[in-house]
Amino acid sequence: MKTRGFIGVLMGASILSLTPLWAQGLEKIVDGAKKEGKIKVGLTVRWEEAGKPGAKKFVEVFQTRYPFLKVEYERVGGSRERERVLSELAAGKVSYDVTVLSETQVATALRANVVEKVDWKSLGVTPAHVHPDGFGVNYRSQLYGIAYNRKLVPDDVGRKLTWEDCAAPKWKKKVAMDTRPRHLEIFWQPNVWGREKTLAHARQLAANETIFERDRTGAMTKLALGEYAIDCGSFYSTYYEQTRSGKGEHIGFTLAEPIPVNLGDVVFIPRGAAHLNSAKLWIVWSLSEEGQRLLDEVEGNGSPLIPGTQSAKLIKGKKAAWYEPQYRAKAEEILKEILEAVGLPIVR
Amino acid sequence: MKERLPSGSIYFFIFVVGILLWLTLIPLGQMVISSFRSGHPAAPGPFTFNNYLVAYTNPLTYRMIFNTLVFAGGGTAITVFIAVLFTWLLERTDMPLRNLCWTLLLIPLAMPGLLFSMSYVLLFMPQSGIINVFIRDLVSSFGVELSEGPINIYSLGGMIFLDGMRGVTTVFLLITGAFRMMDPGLEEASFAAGAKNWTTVRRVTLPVLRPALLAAVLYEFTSSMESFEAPLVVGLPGRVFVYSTMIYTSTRDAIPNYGLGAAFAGSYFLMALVLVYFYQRATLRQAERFTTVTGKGFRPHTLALGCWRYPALGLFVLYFILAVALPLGVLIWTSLLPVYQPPSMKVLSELSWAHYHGILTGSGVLHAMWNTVIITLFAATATVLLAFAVSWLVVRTKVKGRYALDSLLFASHAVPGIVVALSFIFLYLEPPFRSLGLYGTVWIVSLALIAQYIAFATRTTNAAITQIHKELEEAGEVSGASQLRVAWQITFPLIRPAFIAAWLWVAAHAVRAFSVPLMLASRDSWPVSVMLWHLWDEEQNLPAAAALGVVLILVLTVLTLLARVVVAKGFKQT
Repeated sequence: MKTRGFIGVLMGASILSLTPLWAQGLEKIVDGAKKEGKIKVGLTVRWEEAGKPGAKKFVEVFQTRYPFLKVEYERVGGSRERERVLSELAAGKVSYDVTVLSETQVATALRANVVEKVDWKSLGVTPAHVHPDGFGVNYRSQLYGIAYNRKLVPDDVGRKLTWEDCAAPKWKKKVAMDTRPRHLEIFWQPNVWGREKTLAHARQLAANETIFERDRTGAMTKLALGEYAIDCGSFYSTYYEQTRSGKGEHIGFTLAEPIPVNLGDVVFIPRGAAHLNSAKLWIVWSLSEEGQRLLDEVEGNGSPLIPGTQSAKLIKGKKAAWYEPQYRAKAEEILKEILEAVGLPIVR
Repeated sequence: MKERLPSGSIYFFIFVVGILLWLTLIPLGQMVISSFRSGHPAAPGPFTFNNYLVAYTNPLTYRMIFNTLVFAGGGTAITVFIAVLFTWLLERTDMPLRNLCWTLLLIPLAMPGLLFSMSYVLLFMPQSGIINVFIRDLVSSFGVELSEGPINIYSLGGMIFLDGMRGVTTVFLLITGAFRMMDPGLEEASFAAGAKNWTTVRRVTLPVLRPALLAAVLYEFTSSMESFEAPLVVGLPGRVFVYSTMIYTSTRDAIPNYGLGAAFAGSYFLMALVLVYFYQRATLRQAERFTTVTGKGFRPHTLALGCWRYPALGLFVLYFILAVALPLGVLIWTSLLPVYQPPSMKVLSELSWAHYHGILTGSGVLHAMWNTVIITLFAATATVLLAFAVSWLVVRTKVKGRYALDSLLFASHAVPGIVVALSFIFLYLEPPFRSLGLYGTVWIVSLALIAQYIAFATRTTNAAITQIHKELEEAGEVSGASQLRVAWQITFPLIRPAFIAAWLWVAAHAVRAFSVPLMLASRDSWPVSVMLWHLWDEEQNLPAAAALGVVLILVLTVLTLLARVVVAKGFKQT
């Protein structure tokens, strides 16, 4: 009931807020951006994936809307890349006007005072996409599922895999998982599995000699090669990228219920960014319906709050577990507990 | 002539000490302080003992220390065994093609450890590694069906093998001089007493060479303790942690904890310090107590291998295949594919030069190469100039505190690269040094490399200056030249060969350096080694990483062979 209520609030807020987005405050930002003339963006979307445009298309469409802005784009990948960006910002080296952090880095970024505070809601951004701490926005939404190698796991078995199967002795030594298992962070919430069940599951994963991969694309590549039979907590977007680029022939994907849903990483403007208006324009446009549909097309991770996106369609009628704001704000503590239970060396 | 210290030299001494403190003690001191703090270096939290409590009450830590010792011990045993065998075969026997083999043995130096480890992952991934697939196909034709393996490179055994194979050339170069220069009279006496070849090797040759071998063992053990590439590439996926990867993951994984990394670094540094102390003692003992070069007959006896000549050559060929041909072959194969796949007839139609074209026309690679050149030239030149200044102060002046300076550098030899990098992070992310804006630039990478290599360079320049008689400098001073002018115009030209050798040693290490730039460089300043890792790890673009690796190996092979010619010529002219 609580989850349904939450989804209702999100959907309602989304519909209410999209209308005034392009009507209010935009002209002022556009005028400022015209004077700046350029923007440097460092985000996680790949420029191209096996010849298919990713961020490239995003940039091209943005520039057709705002031809006066020259966009320089660099990919900022996973946790290690983001840690580099955070350290550079702390040292006063501002390489991007718009960049990204993981939820677990937010507290440090705020303490280090490297974030430009912006009232995103007043600029018309869907409230559900504004980070609970108020400085950034969440975009690049994720659905988490179970990917499997179709040569090692027949489709009739793979499609019926459950989250409990990830820790089942039957699959001992054959399961891979992310070193940051976000799906378990979502399960940890009291209205999903709760703390005790999630930590017991994490301990069982360790007993099952689950293999921990630091990179989602890397895990998917090795899954396709047959290094693993199953990859638990796999991103739907990674599966989408692989199939879109013709590399997913041997990969199957199932969205086991409850489907963990996360509104994405934290995108923000660093303090000292040279092109502040252009950065605001980029972020506001990225979260518009056009931006999210484009993201959905190139990466498969448009917002599930926008009807018609892949994630909206995939969770329709299914039991979904949303990563709720009050728990996203505690992501670092939750992850610490899970990693301790799994027994990874990063323990406190 | 009584030594004196003109006022200019005092200022020079203070200047040099200041630089060395800035490069070594201050970062380490900052790291020790930070090990007692919580939070990120960018936003340090309150003081706490928690990092040490967590680090040293966790059973995983002792498992990690055990892994480190087994890894270093196993790797050293393999390296030293192979190196001693080949040194003996190439220097003291009549094995065929010895000159060619001598040159070929230098080529592994051109293959960075990172690429070597990556190539073995492609060969021995449990499911899809080329050789594992081949073995499974082979045994299945005999009715034996294996679901994976049979070899798992993601293991402690895999790490030991990679480390063991990697160090052979370095140890060979360390001990080949001792083999070549030893007094042949001892072996001849053994033969005269009726001993056979093997008995002479076992009871005369090896015991005589014991100090040189001990020094090589300790050097290799220290290097293996510091090793980062194999533990990172094959250890982490197999969850086999050693010190270097534990520190790395503490600061770079899902929840970074720099204080915890610093707490690990403390015991890591102490262990390395003990090893460096024993290494130093072993090398001194070798120099002072075991005189094997005398004024008597100098040409060592060459042992006839008889029917073992070609099997010995076969052993060398096997090593060359494992150390060079096989890894290079799999990198070339992977670099020609759109997506990595084991070899098959079906895949042949997909081969192309696309990744080479992308690498050689992309601005990113050219920029990374330019960064590599800047870092290498600056680090090598600044290191040897600083080393010369330090050695001149220590050996040629009587300034108070010169031995303390030498001891400081001796201790800095024990700081592993990853610890140097971590200490620089603490120093340059926190005030007041943060305001210098060095973090993430090629200059911080270069400074950290200078801090890492200065100890080795000063050992070389100390020895070179000691060998030059003071008469030459005294003549200059009698003629009215200042001490600094004498150092620059007389001493420096005389030690040029040692200077060149030290420069080449630092340059060869800086060009392949990985752990320091991985921790300190930003996207704008990363060298080729970090870009290679980025393609492999972050982008998961194995073919592009392989193509860049092949280009890098070709360039480094040419440079290695050129360096050999330069060194040989430089020493001949002197």
